[in-house]
Amino acid sequence: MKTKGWNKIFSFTFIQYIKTKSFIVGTIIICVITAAICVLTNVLPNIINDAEKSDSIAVDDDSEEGDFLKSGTVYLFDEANILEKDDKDALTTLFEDRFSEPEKTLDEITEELKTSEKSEAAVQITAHKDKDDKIASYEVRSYYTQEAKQAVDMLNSTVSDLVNRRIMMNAGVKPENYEQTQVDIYTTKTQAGGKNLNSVQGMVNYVLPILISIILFMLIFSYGSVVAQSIATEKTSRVMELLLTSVRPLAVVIGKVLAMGLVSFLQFFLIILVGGLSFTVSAPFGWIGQAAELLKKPEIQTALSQLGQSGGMTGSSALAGISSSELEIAQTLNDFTKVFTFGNILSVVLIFILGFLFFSLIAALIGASVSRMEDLQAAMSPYSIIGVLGMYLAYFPVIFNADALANGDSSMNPVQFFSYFFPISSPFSLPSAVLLGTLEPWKTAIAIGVLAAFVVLIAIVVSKVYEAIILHNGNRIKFGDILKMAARK
Amino acid sequence: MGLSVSNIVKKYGEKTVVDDLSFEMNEPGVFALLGTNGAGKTTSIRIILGMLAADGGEVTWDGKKFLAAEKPIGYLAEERGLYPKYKIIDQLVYFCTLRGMNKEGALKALDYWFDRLNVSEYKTKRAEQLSKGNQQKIQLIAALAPNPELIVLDEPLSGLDPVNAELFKSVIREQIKQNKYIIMSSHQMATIEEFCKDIVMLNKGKTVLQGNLNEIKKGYGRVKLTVKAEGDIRAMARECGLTVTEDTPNGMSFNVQNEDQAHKLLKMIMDNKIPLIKYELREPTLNEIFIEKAGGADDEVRADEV
Repeated sequence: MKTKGWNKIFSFTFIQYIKTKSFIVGTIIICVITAAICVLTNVLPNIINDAEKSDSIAVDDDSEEGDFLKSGTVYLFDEANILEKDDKDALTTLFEDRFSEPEKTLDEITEELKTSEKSEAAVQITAHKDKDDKIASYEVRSYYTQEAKQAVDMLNSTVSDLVNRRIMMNAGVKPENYEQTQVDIYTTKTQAGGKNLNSVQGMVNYVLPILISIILFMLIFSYGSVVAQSIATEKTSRVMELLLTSVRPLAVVIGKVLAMGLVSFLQFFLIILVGGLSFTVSAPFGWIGQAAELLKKPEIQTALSQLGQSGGMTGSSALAGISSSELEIAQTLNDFTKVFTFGNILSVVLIFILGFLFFSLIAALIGASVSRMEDLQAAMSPYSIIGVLGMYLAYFPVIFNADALANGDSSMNPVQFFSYFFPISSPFSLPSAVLLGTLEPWKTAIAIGVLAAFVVLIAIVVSKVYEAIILHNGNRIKFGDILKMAARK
Repeated sequence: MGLSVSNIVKKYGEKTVVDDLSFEMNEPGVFALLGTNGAGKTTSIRIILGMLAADGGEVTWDGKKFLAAEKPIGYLAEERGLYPKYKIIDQLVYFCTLRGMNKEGALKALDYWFDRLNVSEYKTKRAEQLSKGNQQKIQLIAALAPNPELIVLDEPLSGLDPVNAELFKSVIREQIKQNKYIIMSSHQMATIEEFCKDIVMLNKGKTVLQGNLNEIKKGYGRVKLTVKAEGDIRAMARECGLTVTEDTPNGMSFNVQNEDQAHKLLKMIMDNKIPLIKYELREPTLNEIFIEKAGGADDEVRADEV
């Protein structure tokens, strides 16, 4: 049996490697980075949204905007003469005696604001006319003190709403009908035959392939290099000769490759686990938690099922009590949980294993081809070129095609399509295609089959030439010579 | 029965590095595999141990194909190798389990050998922390702990100080007493003469000398003469047909065709009343045979032909 004893090589290599400082420290760093990315991904959008939230005058009394309403002073310069008494009364109600139309000029007021330490702002409304002397646009501009900085968007928005309301009234809209004109209208676009994605889903559609390709590249490529280094170390330190009195060379390759595969998979699993835990722990403080809470609501479930039937977000705004952004998040999370089917997980694990075997068997051959450690780096050049090329083939089509992916465009970039079937890139690109359903199942099966066929081909080459090159000492055996040797055998 | 190597051939491209090597070890003891650098010794050992596939011939043990991976073998390679970063005990247990021992059995055997070779204190050290001599001891432990029936020692004493060389020799003697089959390769001919019964000598892959060491020497006869006298004996040596091969303070050395030449020279010295300090007529040493055979001769010379 050429492979007898591989299990002992496997267990020793695995145990010794996970005991090394480099693995322990590296894993801790990766886990910390993963946790940080996951927590920030979850929490940061909410923090940014909170900071930018200024499109409503229904403000929380505890907020900066609430503080401004209570104590800030507003000077109005309606140079467009658009606002009427009702509008100014609304402002007086909002700001009490701190609202005024001063007799001073705007320049004089802004000069005073420069040195003011109070929460104050001057709002200027101007009308811009076209060549026919018709009003083409209005401009609401605020000059504010440092103290009023946080609330100035709210102020602009409030005055803009009043200007807009007055334009409607002047055009004949009755006050009681005004609210009906204030319905949000969202625009989306979907190519015929493409996927109907909301903005969050669109983002996931191009961010996920990038993230997955980077993570898989790190795990598959770098641990393949470790296999090469480990075999080269054993060969150059002559430990290999001792091993080969007990086991055949093929058993050494299999034991090492599988051990490093397990190490790599373990680290991959840890990244997923830490990522999942980080999302779970930070959920109450971010959009993930909000989405999870939303998913529990019956009206959201109803909305989602209606979306499923109607196939888009266009009808969602009609659903009373649910904002579009909430629905988008809930819909994305809902879809994302459906991704992790048994079949998809099995496919991704299979691709990971095949990808790892593909790269690490090549690396094992290269590691066995050197007689001195200082030759290893030069010998690994073809491996590095193959790996980086594969990574770029998976990465750049996504970057260059981000808009189309975000819009659910069904026409695939030809390079991206090629990357699914090319064995040096498919380990990095195919998993996200499986998870996002980019490829039809039968095409995915063919892509996995192509990768598996190449793995078998390399395994045959390894089994034919490894015994001959592992005990070769002297000049480095070039990759071309290895292939010639395999062809001869 | 024992180990039988029959007609093994190994070629690298057009170059034949082992050419029709055959020998047998029918009983326990030490067998020497000799040759100059590049003669094909290490390649032959690798083929015997199953590391390399031969292009021809076969290796059998008790008449059956010898599968090294299925039989515990002790191998001390010429170029030593240990994992520099791993603990000594971890890697030795690993090597033992690869040879079929369980962990408990390995630890017990290793304890004995750590004590026997005085390296117990290095058990938990990393290999890179040990001196070259101590690393060599650790590798001898790796070779012997599984209690193998066949042991291959490639330059076992090179680089050792006299104390540790003696320690290694005592271990080898123990193994001989335990009826082990030992193949030894060394350039230290004195060591070979001390331990080996049978030898095979290679030169450029070909066997140039083979057989029982005592018989080989007997086959040469007493052809080495060393004389130290208190007068000049050169003229007398010339008269006897002898040419000086070496002239040192310890005396003059001659190669004799037959013992009569030596006796004739002795008689002339005595007749001329030249005080004689040393007169030695002996068989050639293995070192002298090695230089003669491996120093240029390509022709196969067997013990029964000399």
